Amino acid sequence: MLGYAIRRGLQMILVLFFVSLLVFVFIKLAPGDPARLLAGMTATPDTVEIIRHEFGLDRPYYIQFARLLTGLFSGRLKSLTYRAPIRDLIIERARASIELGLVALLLTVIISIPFGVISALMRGRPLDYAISLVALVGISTPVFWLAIILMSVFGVQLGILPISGRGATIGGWSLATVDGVRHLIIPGVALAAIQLALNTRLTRSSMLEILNQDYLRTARAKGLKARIVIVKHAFRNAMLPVLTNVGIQIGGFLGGAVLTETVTAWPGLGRLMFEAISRRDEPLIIGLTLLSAFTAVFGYIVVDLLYALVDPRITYE
Amino acid sequence: MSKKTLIVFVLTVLLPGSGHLLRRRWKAGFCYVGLLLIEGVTALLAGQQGLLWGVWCSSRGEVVSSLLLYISIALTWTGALWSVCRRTKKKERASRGYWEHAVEKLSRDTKGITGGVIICVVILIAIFAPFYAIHDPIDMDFMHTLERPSALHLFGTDDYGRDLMSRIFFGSRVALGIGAGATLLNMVWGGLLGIIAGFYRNIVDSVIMRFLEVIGSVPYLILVIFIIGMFGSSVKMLIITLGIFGLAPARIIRSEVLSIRESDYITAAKASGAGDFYTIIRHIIPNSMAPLLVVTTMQIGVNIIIVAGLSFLGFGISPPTPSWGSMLQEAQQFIVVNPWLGLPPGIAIMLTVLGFNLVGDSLRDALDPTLGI
Repeated sequence: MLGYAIRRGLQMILVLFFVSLLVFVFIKLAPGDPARLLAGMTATPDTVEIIRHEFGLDRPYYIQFARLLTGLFSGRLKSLTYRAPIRDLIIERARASIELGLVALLLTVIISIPFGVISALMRGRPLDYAISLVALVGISTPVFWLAIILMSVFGVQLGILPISGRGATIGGWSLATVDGVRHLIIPGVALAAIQLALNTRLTRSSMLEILNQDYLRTARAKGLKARIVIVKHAFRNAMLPVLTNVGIQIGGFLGGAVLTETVTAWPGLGRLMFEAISRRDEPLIIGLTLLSAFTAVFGYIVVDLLYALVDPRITYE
Repeated sequence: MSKKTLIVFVLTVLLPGSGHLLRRRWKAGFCYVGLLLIEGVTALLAGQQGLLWGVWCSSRGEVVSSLLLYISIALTWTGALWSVCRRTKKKERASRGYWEHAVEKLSRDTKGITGGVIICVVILIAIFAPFYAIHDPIDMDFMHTLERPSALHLFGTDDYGRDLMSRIFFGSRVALGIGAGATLLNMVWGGLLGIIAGFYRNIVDSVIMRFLEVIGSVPYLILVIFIIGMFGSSVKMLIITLGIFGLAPARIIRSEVLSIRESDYITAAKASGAGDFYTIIRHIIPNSMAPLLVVTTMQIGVNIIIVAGLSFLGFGISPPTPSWGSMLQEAQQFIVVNPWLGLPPGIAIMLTVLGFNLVGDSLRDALDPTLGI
């Protein structure tokens, strides 16, 4: 188990190295000059040259790449536009994103699993059709539109929820204040929506598959109560694929956060990513892309390890 | 030729579908009549705007639209004539193939039919956008900005006084065009990777899988925004980027090929001396079509949402070209003044994607219910 974890960890480092290399290559291939962009339209060639030198953009590519990597880990690498170390920027913004991700995750798990199970147990009945239809509509709805509609209805028309920003915070956490929680509702729901719908569908299909298994028929045949059959025999086994999906959701939430945070002006990592790309802030882009790749790969590994804990049939050598 | 056959023939020449109805072939009859009705309305709308003779006037887009209209009318007529003259004796066969079975299952599934109708309507709108759109989608009118829905502007107008409905209609071209183009590339490129990885295994498989792992570790949206943001956006760029980096099909095809590879018929093919290329073309590809088809249908929906998201963030289609994503961006700015603005583009995206998801769902049920998508 430990050996497996270590091996996966090493693999992850390799993957992250290639991700950073890929991103670096793309940045260097792309047209445009970050130094000129930073200096502004009216800058003289000398100023551009100074800026280029200041950020080491005049060095050979392999040195730039090495400096980027070492700078990221030592925390000295600075953002071009914010003029602050990337590590500090990420830590500062991370709280907002973690909060948002947590709310979305909680909403997803609390709502999707019961609905998926109910839908599977009521297969073919009106309730099942209703839940399936809503879930299908859910995966077809763009998050940013959902956010706009929520903002328009609850923020502007009814005026009961704030439409943007984080509100009051204590120690950088919105969850600690009532005002902050109110600010969290719209972005949280928007971010959760697609995953919620996906997870409901997954729970349903996974439950249906298990319900058709022979051992469930056996369990019923030997006279077990329906509740016990469903909870102990079906539900537990059906949760395995759902667990995978939740893991992927946690790992990949930064992707969805870009849109949600940009629409609702939530000052988290997703919005930072948007700003970094719009302003062509190379070090920040690499840092954030690596972070998003890290969380995604880390999510996979954690899920794989959890599998061994949850399911005694699975062992890792 | 009997008298009735003659009547049926003449009727069909006059109005395709009526011959079928006389012969009590209701389904085909209503289909042809319906098709002709749609084409008639389209032609009427086109004629009203003086675009019906578009071949001799106006812009290239309108010429293509009117040509397609002529072609479709001609096809309806010849199709109806051909099918009504054909002998209608049904062939009963003892056994039916996998695909025939699937098609029959599909044609009974309300979910799939609903989705199919939605997709057809969107495609129709995309092709004949210049005919259905009463106003020019980029014509500004500063006297009538941010108007609420009215008889003249059914969906209202935006901040430049442009007709929202016309913009929605023309926006469907961007959404469908990029969505379909990118997905086609996904299918070919992802399918190729998946087949090669699954078929040759070992080193080739490892290399391709590691490549997929590296690409897949960055959330798709972030990767796409990054590349489009860096290299600038154009329709071509969007199709290529989404096409190359949307690698979901590759994994699924690979696992499918891995299992097909172990089948007895592949061993038999090899034993009788079939080469790799022949085996792939003749056996692997036809047998891995089902999951590829399901994934592709769903991928179109994903790509449409991604394109809209990119345009929404300002990385996609640049104004004034109408696209649903950038329309939503404008809607957000005027959320207080005119909340109506955000409704039509969002519903357009949602319905289109829903159409593809419905068809995908029903395809999966018909072709391969065990596929865990």
